[in-house]
Amino acid sequence: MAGARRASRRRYVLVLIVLTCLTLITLDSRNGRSGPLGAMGRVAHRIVSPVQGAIDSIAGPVSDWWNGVTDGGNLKRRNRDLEEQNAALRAKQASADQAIKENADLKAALALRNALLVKNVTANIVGRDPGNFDPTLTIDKGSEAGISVDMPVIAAGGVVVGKVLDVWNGGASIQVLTDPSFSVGVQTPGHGPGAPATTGLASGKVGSHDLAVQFDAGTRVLRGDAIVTSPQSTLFPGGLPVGKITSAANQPGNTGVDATIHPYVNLGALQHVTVLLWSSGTPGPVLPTTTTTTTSTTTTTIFGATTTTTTTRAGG
Amino acid sequence: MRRSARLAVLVVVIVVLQVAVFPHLRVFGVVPDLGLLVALAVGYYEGPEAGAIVGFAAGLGFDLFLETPLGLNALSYAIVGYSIGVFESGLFRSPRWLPSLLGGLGGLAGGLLFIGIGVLVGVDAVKGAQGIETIAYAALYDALLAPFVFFLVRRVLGSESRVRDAWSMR
Repeated sequence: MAGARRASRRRYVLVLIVLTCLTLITLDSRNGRSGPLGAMGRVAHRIVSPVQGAIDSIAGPVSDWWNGVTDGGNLKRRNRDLEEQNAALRAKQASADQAIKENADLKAALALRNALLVKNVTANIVGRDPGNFDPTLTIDKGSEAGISVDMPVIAAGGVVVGKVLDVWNGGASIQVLTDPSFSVGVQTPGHGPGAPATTGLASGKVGSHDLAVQFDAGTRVLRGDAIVTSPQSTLFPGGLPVGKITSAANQPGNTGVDATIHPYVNLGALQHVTVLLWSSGTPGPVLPTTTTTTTSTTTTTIFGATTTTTTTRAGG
Repeated sequence: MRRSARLAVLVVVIVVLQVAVFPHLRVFGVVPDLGLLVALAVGYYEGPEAGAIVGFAAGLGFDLFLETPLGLNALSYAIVGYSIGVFESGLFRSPRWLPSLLGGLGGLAGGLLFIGIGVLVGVDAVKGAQGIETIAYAALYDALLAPFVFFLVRRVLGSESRVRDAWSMR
């Protein structure tokens, strides 16, 4: 009798837990991270972020050693810096290639320049991929630095990393571009008057580190083409380097072109990122920080490099 | 300190280790499910009810740091913690390798539940063959860590644990 009552109680507890979980899943799926459940997550992040930061700073060498043991090589630390530089150089190369091609490409390069002049915040990555199905990065700057949800995140050279998914005081989580639920408007370089630049929507691919994109039928896309963010994108300023085309094929019936983009950014090697303080839907304004003295001094900071121009013009 | 309080502290510590330390200690690109292992151990030593409750708490704590829907890990950990408690009642002996076996099988079951429920609620990242590969590697990692976690849980529960020591033949 007692055994039956105990078994009944166990089942009752399990049913209660299952119903609670299903309710939480439903609420979270419908409301996203804007409701009270999201607030709980932000509080948890705020509490644990300093611990993550401290562990990240001391765990770097241990992590490198461990990766060397488990991934079959101990050159990762050296490679990390080189890969980051390489990614920046590839991005610059891509931008340079574009700039010498066509008028549309020049516009893209101008858009990139504009994007880099948008006010930005550089942040260190203190956590990455806490789970096996959660391709996110955690950074050490948050709402106190002016960061808000959906702001674009880039790496050295302006290459696209992802967007801000959630933000709290002292940190933020970044959805990376390889996440299957991430998508961004992109543009091809164009190949002459008969094959102008075309835009499409690129998304992360399930089980892959590449992006999938679909262009209109007749679009000319070549392997190795440099893909940048579309000027029509509401999520990113136009002209930011995304990646290069690794494959392209016509859809059955010639209804469109399916292409695969290999991103420039090496997410595993990233140590810090730059968040563009750019609101979704705005045209990518140039917002240099301006200080006025008796003579006019304009200071523009682009990725830590400061350019100062002094003129004798009075006032600001 | 009461056992329930000690277990609560253990769950908090495990969640912090999971999100702050183990992302640095990936094997084949995957992290283990420490919360799941704690749920397995508690379910094994204390029975299905305790396994489900601890699994729910550990999973929910982990869910707070993930972008997958809140409650997804909590549900899979709770079901696996409960199941292992039911399974334990049918065991006649518990050899030394049992924690590893339970860790591996529990990790696999928890991962499959996570993927199954994730697909139902529209989580794109869990779809595809790579998801299965990921949970297979994670289950191996779980099997490797299970003896340590079972030992830790055994120490936290103390001598008044409901079930026998997993490290000896019965």
